[in-house]
Amino acid sequence: MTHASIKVKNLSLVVPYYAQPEEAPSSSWFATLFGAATAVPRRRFATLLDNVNFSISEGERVALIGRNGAGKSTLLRTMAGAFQPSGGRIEITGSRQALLSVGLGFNKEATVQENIYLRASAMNIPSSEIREMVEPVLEFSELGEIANRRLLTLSSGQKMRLGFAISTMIQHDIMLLDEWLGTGDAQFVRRAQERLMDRVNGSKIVVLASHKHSLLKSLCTRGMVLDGGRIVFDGDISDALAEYGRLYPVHERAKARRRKVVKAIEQKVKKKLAAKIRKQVVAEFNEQTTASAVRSAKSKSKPKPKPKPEPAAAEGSVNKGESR
Amino acid sequence: MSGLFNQLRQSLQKPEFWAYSSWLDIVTRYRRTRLGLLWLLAPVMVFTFVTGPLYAKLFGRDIASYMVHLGMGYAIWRMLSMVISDAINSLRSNKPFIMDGNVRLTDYALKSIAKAFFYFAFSMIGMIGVLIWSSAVPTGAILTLLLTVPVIVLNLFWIAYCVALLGARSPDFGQVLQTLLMMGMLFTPIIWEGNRFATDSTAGIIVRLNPAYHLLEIVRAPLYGHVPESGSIAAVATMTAVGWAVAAFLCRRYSRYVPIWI
Repeated sequence: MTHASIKVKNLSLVVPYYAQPEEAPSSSWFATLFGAATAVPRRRFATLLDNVNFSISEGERVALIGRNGAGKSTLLRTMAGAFQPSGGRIEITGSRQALLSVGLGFNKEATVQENIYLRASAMNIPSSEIREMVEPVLEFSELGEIANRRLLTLSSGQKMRLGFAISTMIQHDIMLLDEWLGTGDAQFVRRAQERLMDRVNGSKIVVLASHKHSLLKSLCTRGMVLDGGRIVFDGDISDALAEYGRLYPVHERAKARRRKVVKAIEQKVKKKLAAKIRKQVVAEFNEQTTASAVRSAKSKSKPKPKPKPEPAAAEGSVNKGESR
Repeated sequence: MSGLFNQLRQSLQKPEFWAYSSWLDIVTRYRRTRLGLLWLLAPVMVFTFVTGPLYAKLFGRDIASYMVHLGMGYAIWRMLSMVISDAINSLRSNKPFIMDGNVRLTDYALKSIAKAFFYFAFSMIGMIGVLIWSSAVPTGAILTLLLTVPVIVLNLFWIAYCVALLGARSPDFGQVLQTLLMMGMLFTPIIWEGNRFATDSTAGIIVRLNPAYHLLEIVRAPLYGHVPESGSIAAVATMTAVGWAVAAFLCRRYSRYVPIWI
């Protein structure tokens, strides 16, 4: 029995990309169209991973934490073997399965069953095993009744189920997961999570990128915080999450800002409403007093007490939505 | 990443993926048609049986010999152009598989070839009939196909591999090839006969600059019981050797960048 491990040394990844040249704000609509057609994209380079070092040994469950574009998926892709590092080394022992893009790599015109064959053969599974896989995959994804329908007739949730069922059918030593779970109906999500837990428990190494802190906390033992293609923290999962929270206190600050804005709006609305009501009440009062003055021209009536508009305004249906 | 030959060996040992996915591509395309796979016969047959007699008359050629020339020429050309136009986008269209870590690019080249070869094989069902019927084809000459077609396929492989790689790198390359393919159909002696022009005439030299001419020639000439021009044999041999060398070089140098390009 071999020990599964991942060793990454001085890993860096620089990729070319094409950028449309920056344009001055176009003078006219036509100029915009013309510019879009004629501007030649320029080749630039971006460093997606920058001198990344770590090693994961058997039994570890590693969370990749970071904002969008921090390099989580890129790192997973590199570990999956799709991206070749531009510098440094990456050594992997053990069979690996990447669950990075579920629902892709299908033939739309082929039936559900044929697509199981297709995906499974792309995963290098020998055909004898594939035949045995078809039934359980259909069962798990609950697509048995429509196994002979063309794939394009399926809903996106059903496709997701199929992809998930195929990808998780076989247990591997190393599992590389990107956050994607969550589509599909609640019942399936629950079953998928069970299956995932099962696979995670059965595999020797798990690397998972996700934004769901609760999921990471329950699954992982170790956390790596990525920022701009670098690992800025590597340690215990709860420490890593705390570090991430410290790095990006966006949550708290955003909450406070939202609370403030909501309050300001509430006050504004309240003021407007109060003014409106006051105006109405005054108008009504004036009308009444004129009317009663006409009616009882002879006998002088007592003036009505002055209305107090404030309490009416306070209950004036301002939606005091909870500021979350 | 391992070298080209290593990759190719692995691909051939594990044909499940590329064989199955190319088969699916073909089958699903005709699934909803009434005639199904019979449509595969149509293009070459129409070309041979409609255009053949017509042009034989127009050019004043012997119909038995001309139909073989036209049918075989078109069948081979079609395979060649299908491989090229499929390979241009093959890496991009197989992106999900590549991104999941299946970076053995020979799989995708073989997929392009498998598809085109299947079409070719199907069109040959009709063509074999023509070959047997034609009085211009000596008995036994048909068997030379067993030797010449594999040579073509051998060339198709490096073409598919290089085109796929370059197509993934630069979209311009794809556009250039598409344009060339369109022109190539007219420049290549499929309807007309290239060997009517002497080797040393200007027209003859121009005709022989076209690599497709030589590929067609080594298939067609033996069918008439001739040995192909020595120039053609040399050209094809050189093409095969140089092509594979280029493919091996591109594989070693650039195949690792493919996931990034796409």
